[in-house]
Amino acid sequence: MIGDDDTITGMLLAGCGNVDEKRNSNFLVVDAKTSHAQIEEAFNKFTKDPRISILVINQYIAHEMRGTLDKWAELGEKRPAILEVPSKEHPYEKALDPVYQRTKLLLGLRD
Amino acid sequence: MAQTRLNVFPTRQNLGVMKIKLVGAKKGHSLLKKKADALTMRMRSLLKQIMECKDTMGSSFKDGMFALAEVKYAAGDIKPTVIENATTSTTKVILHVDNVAGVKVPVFTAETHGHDASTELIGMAKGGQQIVKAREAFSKAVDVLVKLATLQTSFITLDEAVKVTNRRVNALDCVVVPRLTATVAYINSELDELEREEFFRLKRSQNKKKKDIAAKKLEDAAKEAADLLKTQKDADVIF
Repeated sequence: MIGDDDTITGMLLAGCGNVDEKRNSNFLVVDAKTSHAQIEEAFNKFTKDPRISILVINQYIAHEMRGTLDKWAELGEKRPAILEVPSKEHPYEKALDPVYQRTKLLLGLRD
Repeated sequence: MAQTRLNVFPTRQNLGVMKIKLVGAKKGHSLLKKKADALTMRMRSLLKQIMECKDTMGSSFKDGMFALAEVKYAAGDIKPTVIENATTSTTKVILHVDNVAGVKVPVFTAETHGHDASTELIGMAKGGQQIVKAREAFSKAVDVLVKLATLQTSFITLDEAVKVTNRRVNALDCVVVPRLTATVAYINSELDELEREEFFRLKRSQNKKKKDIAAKKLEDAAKEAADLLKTQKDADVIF
């Protein structure tokens, strides 16, 4: 998971968090102080981890690193599945979700 | 097109080979077409589900955030405690593989083992009820997420598979089959041409033979006549 503290707290309450003996966690709390490089590093770590099959990213963070995400999507990897979720401050914007866009395109829907 | 037919020697054997290839290509085309149709059908049903699921995800996260705000009101800021206390996950995702018309599609299912002990005691003093509510709300959100992950991954996989299959169908339909048909036609015409040539040759030699025979007959007749004149000795006529 890569997200703000609210989202991460919620996911942890639902029992998704994992911290092993070496204090390696499967989540990254992003706040105003988190740098872009840190997020990318976490992203690379999570996508390489064979134990992780779903990667949850807050949509506004995903939007910030759209380039990395697109590059990763081009590799044709199917694991983990990347899900963009809304956060507390940023409501869900369908227009920014590439999968949603493709779905709409295929269904032939327009706003 | 430069290469409208295959470069083969026009023989009867090659004709047979080409005909078999053509039948194979047509069969393959119809099979692939069926596969593409099956995949597209599956994809159509997925698309609708994805749309619905994305909407559900939006609202379930909103519920979760609201519940979390309630927790904050009742129990104070629990975020640091929760984040610091995270240990082993209780909800795990299990991967199955589903098969759609020969395309392997991953299916995720969430499984929860027992209860999370690390966050169990949070909110014991106050706001426990709200925390339970938030936990439930987020569990629901996670369920939706897992479902969405399955849909999304199968969507991406199928999207790719449909593209590849369609490309193959089109390649067979527009390149391989016409080329084979052209080759068969070419071999047929060449063979016909050969046959006509052969027939013509036969006829010609037959004519020649007939002519020869006729000429010989004439010659023989002439010779015979000459012989007749020569050999026939009339008796002397005596006056």
